[in-house]
Amino acid sequence: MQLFSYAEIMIFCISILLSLLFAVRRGMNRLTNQTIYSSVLVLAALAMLFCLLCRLNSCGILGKSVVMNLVFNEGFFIASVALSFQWLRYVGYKMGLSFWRKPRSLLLVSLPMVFAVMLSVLSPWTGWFLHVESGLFSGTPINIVFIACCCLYVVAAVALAASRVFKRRYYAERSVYLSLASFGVFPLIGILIETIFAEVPATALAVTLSVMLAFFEMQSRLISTDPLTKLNNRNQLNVFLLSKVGARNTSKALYLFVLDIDMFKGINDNFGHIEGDRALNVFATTLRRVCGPRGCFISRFGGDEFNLVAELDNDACAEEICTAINNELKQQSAALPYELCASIGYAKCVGPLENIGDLFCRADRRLYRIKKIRRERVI
Amino acid sequence: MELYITINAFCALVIIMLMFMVRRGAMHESDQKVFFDLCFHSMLLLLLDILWVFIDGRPGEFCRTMNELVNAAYFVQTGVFGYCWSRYSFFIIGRKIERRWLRVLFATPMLMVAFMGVASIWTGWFFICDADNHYLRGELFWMQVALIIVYLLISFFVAFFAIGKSRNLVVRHKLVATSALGFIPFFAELVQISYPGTAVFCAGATLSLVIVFINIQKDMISLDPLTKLNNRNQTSVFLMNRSGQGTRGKNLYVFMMDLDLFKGINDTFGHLEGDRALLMVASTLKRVCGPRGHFIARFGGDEFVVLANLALDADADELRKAIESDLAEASRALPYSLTLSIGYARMAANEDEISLFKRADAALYAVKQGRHLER
Repeated sequence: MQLFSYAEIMIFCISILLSLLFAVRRGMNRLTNQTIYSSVLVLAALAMLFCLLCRLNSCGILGKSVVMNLVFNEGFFIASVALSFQWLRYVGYKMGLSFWRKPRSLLLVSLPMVFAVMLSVLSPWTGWFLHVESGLFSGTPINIVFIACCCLYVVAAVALAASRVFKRRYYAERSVYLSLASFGVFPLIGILIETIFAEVPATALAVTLSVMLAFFEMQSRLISTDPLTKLNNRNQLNVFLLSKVGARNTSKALYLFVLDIDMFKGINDNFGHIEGDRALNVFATTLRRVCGPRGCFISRFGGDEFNLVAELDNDACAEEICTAINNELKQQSAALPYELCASIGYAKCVGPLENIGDLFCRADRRLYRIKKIRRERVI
Repeated sequence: MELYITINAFCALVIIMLMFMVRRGAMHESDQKVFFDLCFHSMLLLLLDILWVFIDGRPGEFCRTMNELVNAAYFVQTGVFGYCWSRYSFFIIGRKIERRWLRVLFATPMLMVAFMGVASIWTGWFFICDADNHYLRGELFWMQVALIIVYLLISFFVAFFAIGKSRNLVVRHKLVATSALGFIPFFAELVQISYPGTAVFCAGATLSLVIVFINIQKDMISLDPLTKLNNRNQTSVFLMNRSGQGTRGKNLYVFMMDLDLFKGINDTFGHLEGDRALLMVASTLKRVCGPRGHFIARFGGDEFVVLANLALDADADELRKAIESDLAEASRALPYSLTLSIGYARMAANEDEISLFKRADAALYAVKQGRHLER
């Protein structure tokens, strides 16, 4: 019965991993490279498979062959270490650290893994990781080296991801980093549970859980991001506003900005859609440059309309942001065959009960006024 | 026993995670709300099972009463779960049970299980708590299993039916989810019956829910939220993935279209009417292009794209006319005129996506100029 349930749990975890792998390979977004994540899924599934086969073998179901037992044990060690290493790589890639692209640094970081793999491969002869006990291989105390190696990578990954969780600059991506950090925390808890309750494959379950969390987090980002500019999309703006308008209890007021690019239609008509897309990206970069450090929420509503949400002290701060954006835009578009200029309207949220629609209306009205003034000035 | 609890606890944890993720994604889409409810009922079932494990066999009057209550609740919940599960299968493929008597019939197994489950406290139909407060199967236990299997069979046959009808765009889209809902729990239940005392069914149900959720997320990524057509991103994915199958003798035509005077509609009649116009265009495209198997997308704003494998330019013109006339027919009752300007370009050998769309764009512009229309 215990064996049946154990096998069931492992098969269940492997099925989940395979479902995720299938979804990733169906490749919904070619702009994100998922090969590292796919390899994490494959290695985790392999490690669990070897674990299961090892157990089945030692219980006599697969014939109690010593050779198979060795192969399965080795497979498990190698897959587990490789898994930990790949996870660290994945976290590094997700964080955009250039460190990972250089082959030399990659080689350096992979040294512990190579060391552990070597030790485990040589074990049948040297008896380091495995020794023969009642006709089968089982772990030795030096096994601890193998566990330490895995932990080394996993702890490094957790530290990297966690370091960004508290930085203001990365506030918007906090949930991503939390899910990445969880990959280390959950298996550690799993290992702990497994030492207390030896029969429960808690590590396998924990790994599956964290891998799932990372996947759903990844998909979530795709849902809430505008595919062209990679800013938050309209959906996400609504979610954000709903959460902010209700919870007003700081000394600062909530400001909603509505921005649109002047004469964007003209750019599209005269220079084509491709150039239009480029203009949108330049605009998005400008917003990130100016508003990111100020902790604003940036989003694209659609077309050439963008939004900002910020907690500011007064109207003067809002004006300052508007000027800063247009100055930066001028600089950014100097290299372009046309000038990029934005009309910006904003409105201050009057209280926790204000309807979001009204807030938008007021910001829109201000925007119209600004546009009108601009047009009159040109004429 | 430890593993039994572990499996149930893990499944409950996974389902809680799914519920959390669904809730976080601003559940204004009714799809997600129904899924959330399904998860809730599944999780409730698991939690009752875990609770039972802790109470079963404990001495004392209080524990005995608790054991009976928990078991009754568990059996009731199996009925509710079965009902929700099979109803979700229908929901996914877009069918509703219209007639009242059918709906009552559909709920009957659940009501029977609920009634008999509660009655079992006194009659011992589904379960008995023996002298040591251990759970034992009652004499009519098989009935509960049979009634639940009825619900699982319904989901099973819905999945079967969906595979048969996979030419229909709406159904094909949800094929993986429907199959997961129909096949996995059914077979899991069969295994569970063969090996009593194991926790196989809950694992099967949880796996299905994970697969369904992956699909929900996939839809949220690749579909435009308003019209439920493919979005721009998906267009690139489609072009990247298209194989040469079934396209011999045919070329890829890109149709670029946008609504005439859309801004005017928005300004004069309001954004709500603008949305309605967009939905009307989407329906037209689905009606005309769906059965022909063409790829339909909304590029954003009032711009739409159709990708079709056609043999000749004449076919392209014919498609264009079909779309225009269908839209004219559908929008007859509207207080404004709703028309599309459609331009197309045929893909040249080894042409890349960017230049192909540029040419389609130019074709659209030419059409608009010919009509003297401002965008």
